[in-house]
Amino acid sequence: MELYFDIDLCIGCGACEQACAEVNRGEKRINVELFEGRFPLSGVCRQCENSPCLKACPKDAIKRVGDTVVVNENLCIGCRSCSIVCPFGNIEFRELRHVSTKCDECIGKLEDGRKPACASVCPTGALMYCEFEEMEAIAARARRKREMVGARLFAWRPK
Amino acid sequence: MEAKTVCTHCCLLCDLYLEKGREIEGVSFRNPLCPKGILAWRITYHKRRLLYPMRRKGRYERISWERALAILSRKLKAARSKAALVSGTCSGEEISAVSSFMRAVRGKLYTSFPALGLGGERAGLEEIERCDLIFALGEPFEQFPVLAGRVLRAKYERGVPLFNLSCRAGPTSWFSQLIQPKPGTESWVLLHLAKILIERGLYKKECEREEGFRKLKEFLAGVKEETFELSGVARSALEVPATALSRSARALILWTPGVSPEWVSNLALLVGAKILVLPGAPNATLLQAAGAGPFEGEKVDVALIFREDPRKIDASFKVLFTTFEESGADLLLPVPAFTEMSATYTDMEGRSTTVPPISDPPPKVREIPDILQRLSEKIRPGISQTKGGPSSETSSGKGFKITQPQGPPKTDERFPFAVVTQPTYFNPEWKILRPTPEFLELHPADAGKMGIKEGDRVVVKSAEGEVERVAKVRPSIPEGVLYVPDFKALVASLGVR
Repeated sequence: MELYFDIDLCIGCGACEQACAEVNRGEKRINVELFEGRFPLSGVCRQCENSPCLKACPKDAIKRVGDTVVVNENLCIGCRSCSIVCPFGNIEFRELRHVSTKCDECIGKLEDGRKPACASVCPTGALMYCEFEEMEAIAARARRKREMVGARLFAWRPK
Repeated sequence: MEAKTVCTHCCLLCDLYLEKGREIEGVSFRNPLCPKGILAWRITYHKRRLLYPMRRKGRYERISWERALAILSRKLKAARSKAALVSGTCSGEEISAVSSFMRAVRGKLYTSFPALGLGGERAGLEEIERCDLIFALGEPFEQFPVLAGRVLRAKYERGVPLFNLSCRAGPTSWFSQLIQPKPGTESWVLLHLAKILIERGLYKKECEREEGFRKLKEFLAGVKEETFELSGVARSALEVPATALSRSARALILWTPGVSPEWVSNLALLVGAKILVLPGAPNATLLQAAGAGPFEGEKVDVALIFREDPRKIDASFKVLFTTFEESGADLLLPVPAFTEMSATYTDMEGRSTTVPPISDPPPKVREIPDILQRLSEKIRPGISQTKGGPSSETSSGKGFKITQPQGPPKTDERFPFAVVTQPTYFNPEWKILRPTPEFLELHPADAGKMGIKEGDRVVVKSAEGEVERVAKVRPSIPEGVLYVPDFKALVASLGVR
């Protein structure tokens, strides 16, 4: 199961940000940005296969749980190495608590079998949490050539 | 444990599943929700929750229920004109209590929902799944994000063409063919569409039998070609939507608050389209059935305001029945939040849902029917119960209606900007729940001229008053136009300091 983002369906309403903040005590770990005022994009951790953050951590505080890369905040010393190496800028340093945080796909925060909060609330289904085949089936149902931006395939082309 | 209720922040009435121990602990993320729905439950324990009656004496001070009701009944007895401004956020029980109380004291009933006077066939939400063309007026995607999911599914999975009529290129326009008129001239575009349909004989032949068709034809023939310049949308640009509308068998027009309702029904009748009215507040249609109309500006002595913004009515003494502390009223009376009462909500199609209370109200909070019951006992000698229900004006809504739409707002040196606005929330609770500050949008060129950067605080002044907002610089808004959401008038001219 992975988090997929469909760039064609996002309306930039910010429900995912709000849901994320609710789950993570006010710290949102997903960001909706508008490029050129009309192309919304939800920026969230890609859970890279060959994660640079995992290697950069000097205290082994970043671990892989299944497909998800998770920060253990008890071990984190706040050195910000992971934020520096993250190619997508999706690890944020929290000054107040002096730890780094990232999206953990709501592991252990919701009941078993529940989707991450952002994917469950997304009004248009732009964010989905499913198997790759399921995502492809949804894309095939649409009459358009749909560009699926997976958590591991990042398709934003800067100008 | 999970408790189910409905979100009362807009007319879609989404299911809201809340996690609950002894108290509500948070949202259980099960179904699509918008940011308003996710934060809705926080009003219950909000730090600005109104917990006891308060009155304004210079500053607000706490008073007892006895005092509050005594003051209110004295004011009501002395008042010559009384009115109630009721929000659609009130439950069905509350609305019926308020309307019978106002009948008893011979007061008027107002709502902020505009009187549509629409003919045409109304549609339910299911129509989105069946229609073959969607014509969206205003900005439904921004106001009702949950609806956007259904519209986009129709667009992408069934290939339904999507048109959008809006001065501002907002989220709806990203997915649709945009017709972008000058500010405040949406009605003119609809009129021109009707003119083209009639001239080319593209209208559905059944509508010739409707009342007023001949008059409409004469009126439209008299509309001059120069008026196309009023809206800034050329005749050639309207050919595509006109042809598409005439070819579709089941067109759907989405009407959202923020667009003037003139000419919507005429266009719908001409092409045999159904209208999906999205009034904003949940019980707005119920309120209209109870005989409530929009407030038109005559000042009243005493205004009872139920879960609504006190700025929307002009009165010398304002009594606010609300869930949170707010300035702008002389008397504040605490009422239960939506999680604390048994409530019935009726959606656009007339289906009602009843939700049970899922948490206990604070000790000093009273329900609106109880307050009004005690109040009418206090002023009983002075009033007499009058019989007769609200007048129903549904029969007069049929047929074509001809009105002359307004032109774009005049701008001058003092107020060089035209303003477009729309309500972004329909439940005043959102004012204090909203996580981001209120904003306005302006074009980069205008921003450059005045040296305004993204995120600056800007004061907008109009003849009616001034507001302070955070600036957002967006190329999607035309030059010389400001987008100021939740501003008082729909369109106005403004100056910027």
